[in-house]
Amino acid sequence: MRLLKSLGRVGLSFFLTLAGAVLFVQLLLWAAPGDPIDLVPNGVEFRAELEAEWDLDRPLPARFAAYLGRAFQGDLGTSLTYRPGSSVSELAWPAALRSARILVPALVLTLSVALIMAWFSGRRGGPAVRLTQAVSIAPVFLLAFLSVTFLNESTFSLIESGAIERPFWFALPDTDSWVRSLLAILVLAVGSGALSEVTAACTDELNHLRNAPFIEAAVARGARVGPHLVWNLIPAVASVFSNRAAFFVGGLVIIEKVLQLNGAGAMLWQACLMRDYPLAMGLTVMAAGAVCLARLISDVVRVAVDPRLREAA
Amino acid sequence: MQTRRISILLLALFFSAPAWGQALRYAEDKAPGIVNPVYTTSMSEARLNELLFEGLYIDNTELMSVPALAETAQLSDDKTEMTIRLRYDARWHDGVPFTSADVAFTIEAMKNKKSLSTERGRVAWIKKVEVLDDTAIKLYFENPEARPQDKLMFKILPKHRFTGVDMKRTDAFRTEPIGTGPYKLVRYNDDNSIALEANPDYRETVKLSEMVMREVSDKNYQAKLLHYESLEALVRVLPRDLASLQNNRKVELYPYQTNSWWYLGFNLGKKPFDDPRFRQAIGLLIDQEALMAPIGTGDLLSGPYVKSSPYYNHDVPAWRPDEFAASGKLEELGYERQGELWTKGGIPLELTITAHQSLESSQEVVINLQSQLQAAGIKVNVEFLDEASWKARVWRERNFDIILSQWTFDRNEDIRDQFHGKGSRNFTGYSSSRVDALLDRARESTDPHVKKAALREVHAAIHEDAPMIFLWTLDSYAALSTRVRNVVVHPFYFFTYVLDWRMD
Amino acid sequence: MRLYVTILLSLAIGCGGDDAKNAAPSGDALDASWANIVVSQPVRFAEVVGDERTGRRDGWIALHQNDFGAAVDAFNDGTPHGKLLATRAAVERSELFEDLARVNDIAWFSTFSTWQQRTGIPEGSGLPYVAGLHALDAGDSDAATAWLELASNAKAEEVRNAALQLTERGNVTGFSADVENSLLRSLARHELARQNGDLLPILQRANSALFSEPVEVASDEEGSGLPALTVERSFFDPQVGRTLALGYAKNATGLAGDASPNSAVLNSDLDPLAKALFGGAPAEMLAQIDVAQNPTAEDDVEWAREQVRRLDEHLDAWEGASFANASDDGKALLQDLDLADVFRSRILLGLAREALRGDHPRRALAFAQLALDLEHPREITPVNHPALQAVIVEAQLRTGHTREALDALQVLLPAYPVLLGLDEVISDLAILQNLDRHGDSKEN
Repeated sequence: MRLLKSLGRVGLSFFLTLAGAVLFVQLLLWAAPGDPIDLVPNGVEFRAELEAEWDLDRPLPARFAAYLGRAFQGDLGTSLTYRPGSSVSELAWPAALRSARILVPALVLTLSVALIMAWFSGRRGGPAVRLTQAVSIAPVFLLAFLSVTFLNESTFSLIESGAIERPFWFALPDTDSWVRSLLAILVLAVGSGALSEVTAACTDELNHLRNAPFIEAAVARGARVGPHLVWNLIPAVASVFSNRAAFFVGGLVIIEKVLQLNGAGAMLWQACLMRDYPLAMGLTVMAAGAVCLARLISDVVRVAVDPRLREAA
Repeated sequence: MQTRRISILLLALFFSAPAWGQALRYAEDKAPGIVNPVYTTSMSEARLNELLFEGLYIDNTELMSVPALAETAQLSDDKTEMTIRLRYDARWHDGVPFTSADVAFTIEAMKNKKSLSTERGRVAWIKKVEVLDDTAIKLYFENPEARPQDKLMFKILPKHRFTGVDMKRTDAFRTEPIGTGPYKLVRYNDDNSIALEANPDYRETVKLSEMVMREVSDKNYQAKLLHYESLEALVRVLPRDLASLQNNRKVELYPYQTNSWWYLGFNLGKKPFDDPRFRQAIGLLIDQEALMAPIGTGDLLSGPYVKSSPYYNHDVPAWRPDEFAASGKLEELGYERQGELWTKGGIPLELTITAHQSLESSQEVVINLQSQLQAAGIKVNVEFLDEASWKARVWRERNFDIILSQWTFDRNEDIRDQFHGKGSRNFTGYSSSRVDALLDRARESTDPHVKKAALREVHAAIHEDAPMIFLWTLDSYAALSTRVRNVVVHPFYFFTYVLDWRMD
Repeated sequence: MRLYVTILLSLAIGCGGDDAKNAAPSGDALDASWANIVVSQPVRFAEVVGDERTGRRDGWIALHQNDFGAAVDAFNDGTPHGKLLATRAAVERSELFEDLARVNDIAWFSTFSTWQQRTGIPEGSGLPYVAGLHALDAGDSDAATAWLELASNAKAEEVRNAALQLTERGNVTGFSADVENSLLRSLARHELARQNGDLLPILQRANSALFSEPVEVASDEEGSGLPALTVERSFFDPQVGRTLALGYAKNATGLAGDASPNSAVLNSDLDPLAKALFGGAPAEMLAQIDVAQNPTAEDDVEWAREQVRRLDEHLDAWEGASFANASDDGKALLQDLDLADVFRSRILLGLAREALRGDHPRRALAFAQLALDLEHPREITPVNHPALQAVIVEAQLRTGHTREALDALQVLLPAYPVLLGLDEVISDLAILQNLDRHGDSKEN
């Protein structure tokens, strides 16, 4: 019974998050000047017919409700202007997978590097930590742009001078390659404070744990503290993971535009510009879903690891 | 030691293997959303259509129309009917033979209102199509036509890929286009690039085996990619990149002079822009040369044509800054200078300049324009709109003060849509019965002197009425890698002669 | 440190570049060029050019800037030396107008024949007279006869009379300047100008129409419902182009005192640098650098571009070497006078003209377009010789790109307003050729 209640709460939270995100995007698009019919050639002439065909003649709440109803049956609609006639699912899922191939490794990388730096840097943080903080402050778009420019210009100079042959990945970000993907992962993992903040959070948590009575007791007993620290760090790391997920999703939009990765972020940007309501909302559903999933994973992990949370649950 | 081995391996991997093949890669600002010539709205779509599809006729390198899918034609004595024998050896990319049914289908689909075709005007002059047999059709015209072949260059579509003449933009054809042209669409890539390969069944040899259209939305980056040899062709070079590309010995520049001009357009449905004196005052407050200088080279204009146009009226000078004259006009309208600002009834004169985000260099121009007008005592706000907002605010709602934009015309330089009272693109709301009459007369006449006289008078009248302040035309070039040989560029459609191109 | 060395080594060894690149030219082949002499012998250049005390310097400045009229006037100080230099400038001017005279011929022939084909000659128009006059002036008596016969139906009596006189005479010469008929007086003026080289009477009238005729476009034409419109159909003088070419040639021979002004300059005792300065490259030099040798028989654009690339390789090498080895004065001259680009432009102009003579307009177009300095594409500058635009106009006309020909002509008009008539004729041709085309416009 309690499990059912918990699941029910989780489900409600999931639904509310999704609905809230979709409503927010729909309101923004509705408020923006222009609609998809403005982008249809000869749309002016056939506005009434197109409004009826695309459901744009109904009031916003009715459209919202209808959309949610269809979405929960798995029907995310049809693209209006981005790829007219294509199913949103057919467009969005591959894009989401492409984004996931950047997002997940970036998250894992951030966490891993942050943990390592937190572990070895000591209480006040060593030079590596300070350097990381300095670089990490740079906004994602600036970091991406500078990296691309530096790599391209230096490589081009080497090519022109005959020192090297033209590499397969040159020039960024035009050419599709693992190098471009790797760069995206690195920039997303580091930029806009991602790495520095996660490192700081891990460092704080680690310092807190190191001062905890049970660790002091373990030290006094001569036991190895490492495993205790790691195990007790997991809930904190899981929290950081779920908190950062939303920021990473936001950063992904910028990275994908700058590095010309046609992921869900870039597609969402384009869908908004083109007022492709179904596509924009479909991608929002996926993004919100991803954030919710991250939260869920975090909650499950925390509950699984921390007996006190299990008791409370 | 281990670290060293790994670093050598990684670096070798990083820099290994030369990258390019034999595909010609060219850049467009935006990939087409659909590939269907019946719905062409942008030049990038028109250029892609040139590779995939064919018309009954085509321009040869001397810009004379020659048969493409047509083979021979017979025009009736009264010039109201034309019997066309079609090529028997043309095939669609899926192997199905091209027949007269395809031609009839295309014309009917374009004429069909439900198709919402942007190209309906291209076939409005054809009254009826009659299929005589698989390789012959007869066209009946609304009026006698001296050279109908000049108007039969619209692209033909395959009937067997559609369910009927009620074509929709959402038909599956849009992403699986089939033409008879020298290239077939292979795939849409994840990065919005479009890969094309040579049509092996094409009746002539296609020397460039592959082409790739890349979407590079950052215009500044397009020239960089050409320098890096990640592209072989750039259709429009930004003026600021001309010098660097000219100095690059691996790149050649080709004049691609479109008849295009920049302008400031007023909303004549709104005060104070409804008064020509106000609009003239703005013209007298602007230093057009200073606005143009940072963004490129070109000619300042005084009317709706480029200077080399037969219709340009050289007796009408471009607006020159004259603050004294401008002040006189504003004072006539009841404005007075209070301190730094012009005011009327105590309210400062304030206006908003709106520009399209994607118009290259528009930011520079708008900001400089803002400075000029503010120095002259007018409060100026600026805004940049994306495509949908632009279409809604400017075209649909007519909700703007002044816009900065650009028009591009083909060789006909037909400005009727922009300035005629019934013009479909007359968003300023300009109306002059005299100009309407002159435009109609010019359209009807086949006498070049009558056309010139009428349209030069139109130029003068529009300059005086100033629904737009005409700014300039910029020098325009395409750039191609020297690896691409035998290049001849069509003045409007660019790729028309791609069969002669080859790559080294 | 060892890691960094490893990285550098791996770049050099593991990823090595292509060692087998073709050897680049050294630029030595251009040592004998006037451009190299100027850079390597700035003192000699200063002697040739002279100083501000003599008009010679102004003449050289004008010649460098392609202002031939000003150069002729500045050089011609009455001394034999000055006359020779003025001859040089006069020859350049005369060659330009020869180019333009050819354009004139093509334009007038094409326009009237197209007019006749496309829409028919307007009834009662004096157009056939102008067409006939041009044909007769160009030596095509058959075409002239046909046109002048049509001109006998012209509404204007003056036109009918002039047509009759021309038909009877069979040529454009021998008319008196005192006749009442203004069209025949015009013929006399041209004849005189061609004989004595005094072009002032021609230049004064070049921008005015030879004659005009009112055109009533009726309000109820074909029930169109359009209001009436009255226009002046104006015809410019088709003889202007040929007269200017012949007149300027006359000026050059007059200055040289020799039927062949070029030979007079070449055989004179002028410093060889003065004979070559701001000119092209001799054929032997081009042969040495393998440029424009063995041209293909077809009008092959790619062959032309290949020659330009080869030329650029040599010029780049020469320019680099010159800059490295020249004195400060030499370097300053190289940069301030844009010597490399000017030299290049003159070579390509020569190749473009040769291509036109060989009936290869596409090749000529490629040479001329590649010669232009695109930082100032609409100006006549030291690099942008006006004859380049003349070549482009001709090549575009001959390849059917009439509208593009107007773009090039527009560059010449401010400096050469006498070309107004040519501009109007080519405009008519552009309109006629596009009469039945679908008009299209796009925003942005």
